[in-house]
Amino acid sequence: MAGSDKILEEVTSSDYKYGFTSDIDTEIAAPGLNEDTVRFISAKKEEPEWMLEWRLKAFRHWQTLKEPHWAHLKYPDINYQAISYYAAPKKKIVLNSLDEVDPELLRTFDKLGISLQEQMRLSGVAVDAVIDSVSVKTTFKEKLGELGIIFCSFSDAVKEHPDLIKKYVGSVVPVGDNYFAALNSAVFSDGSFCYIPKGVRCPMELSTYFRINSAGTGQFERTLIVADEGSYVSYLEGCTAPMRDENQLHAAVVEIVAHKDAEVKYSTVQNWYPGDKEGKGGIYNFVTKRGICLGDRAKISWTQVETGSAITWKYPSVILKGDHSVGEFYSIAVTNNMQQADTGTKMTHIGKNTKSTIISKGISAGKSNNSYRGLVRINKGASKARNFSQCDSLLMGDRCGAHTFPSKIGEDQIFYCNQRGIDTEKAIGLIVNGYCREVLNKLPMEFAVEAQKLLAVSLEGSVG
Amino acid sequence: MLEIKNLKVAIEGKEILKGLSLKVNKGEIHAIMGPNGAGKSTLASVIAGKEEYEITGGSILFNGKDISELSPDERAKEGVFLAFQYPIEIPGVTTINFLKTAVNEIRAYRGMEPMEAKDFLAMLKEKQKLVQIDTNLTVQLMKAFQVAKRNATRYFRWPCLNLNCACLTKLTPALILMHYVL
Repeated sequence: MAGSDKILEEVTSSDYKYGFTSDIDTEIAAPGLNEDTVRFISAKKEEPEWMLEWRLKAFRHWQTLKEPHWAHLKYPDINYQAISYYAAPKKKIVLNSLDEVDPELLRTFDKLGISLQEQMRLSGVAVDAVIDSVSVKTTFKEKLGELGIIFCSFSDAVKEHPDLIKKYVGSVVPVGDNYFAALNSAVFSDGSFCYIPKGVRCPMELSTYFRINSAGTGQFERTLIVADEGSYVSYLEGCTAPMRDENQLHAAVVEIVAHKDAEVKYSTVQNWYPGDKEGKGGIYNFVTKRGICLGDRAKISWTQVETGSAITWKYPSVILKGDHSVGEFYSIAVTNNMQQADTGTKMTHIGKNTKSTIISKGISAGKSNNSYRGLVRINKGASKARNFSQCDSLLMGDRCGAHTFPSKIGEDQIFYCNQRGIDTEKAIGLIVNGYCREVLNKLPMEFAVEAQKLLAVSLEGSVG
Repeated sequence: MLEIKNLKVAIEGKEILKGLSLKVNKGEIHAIMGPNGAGKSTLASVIAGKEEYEITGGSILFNGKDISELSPDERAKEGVFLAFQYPIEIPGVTTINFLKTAVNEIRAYRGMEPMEAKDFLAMLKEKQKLVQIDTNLTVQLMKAFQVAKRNATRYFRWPCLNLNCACLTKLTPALILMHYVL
């Protein structure tokens, strides 16, 4: 098979398009983690006493925990004392005046392709951009305010809506849930907060852009979404990071609360820096994402396309407490070169007549490793629970692995496409898109297009 | 149109075709027959450009052009069509989507603009009538058919690609359908 070997050996890589750094004046805390670090962060954010106490409790608990190592992942030990836990652009950002935003910052947004002015012009998506630890700008705040919808940075919410934060933070992912959740609870940087009042259907997709800019920092964002009775919201999360030689830690927590008859759609297109071809550098993406369908007939769906990160370790989950509640998980996880992924989902059925759907597509190429892990738990009393699970793996080339029963992109399929006039690269795109169709269909339009492009770029030159 | 001169082909070092010559003019139908292992499938595969086969001597000229160095997709764009023995399925991809991609790739190669969606649909309808095939089949996934229907859609694809030369292996029904294509 001389020809196919040739293709495999071809040195390719599309340059990671987002591997640039912005020269923004940034304030970075000295590396190290102790109680003072936590106090420093809280003080920088001008947080009320109760928030600091919450953080300290979490920190003290974290110190008693041991880092878990049960995932199918190999990585060098993380030195928690060598990371800086706070980085914020120095210039103070005035919310409503674009002119006063650091022009370098605006340029960064442009490079990311999410020019805020553009967002203003396009109807539909209100954007909250987070660079490093600080949520820089929230557009459409007023428009949403008229409907009673709150969409702002988590830090702002702590100050402006303490009652809501106090009520819900840690209610879905408690501080003691796991090692990284405890760490996050102590040092969380920022994130988004969203509250949709009773009966309100959020008229636009809410979106947040995360970007890790500073070297040697970790990003610990904390996001909380609360959908009150009968409400609806679709939330998009997109992520990029510059190329760095060292690894960077990203330990986020996302909590979703859906009350009776409410629906929350949470979509992620994640393209953190995956490390270079030899596996050097790249983001460690250790995330706890969980939603709870508190009330009857509530619905939460997680849709994700993950192509970045050196290491991905995440299991977006849903707790189906309310009767007739629904949890869904649609995922495409791509690993190439030396990337590793141990991902999956947990669906816990508690109420009656609950339903969960899991569709997971893994694509492995290069020397990467992709594991899917799923848990569907049907509790006592969860009568008439239904689940549909389908996890597929696709292997490209023969040096990668997957821990499910994989199928291979057949040379036959490629040759067939060739013989109908479609070149190999386009053929792979066609095949991969067909394979991922079910999941891509679940993404909001703008994201679906972006995701398709991302898939093509991530898999460039990986055929075998 | 297709001129094969003294073609020698080997696979994994073993010689299969030992100097085959054949000339096919436009409008002609040639049926190649022989016992198992004679090299019939090999010939079709080599013309199409399957990588496993190595041309050790001779040449293949298509419309005066030497195609032996061209990749399979380039040969297809030149107008060579190979009918596959078994239908190939691509999960998640509809026939219509596949055809549109192929048609536009071929058009791009020939310096033509891609086909507009409505023109494409019109062309599709016309060819469907030609081969007498049910409309619904085109929007279904390539995978989802019973064998009989699968074969029908396969034959349907040729007229859409407006190709010049079709190689068919082991397909008796195909000989009847050739009547429509050429």
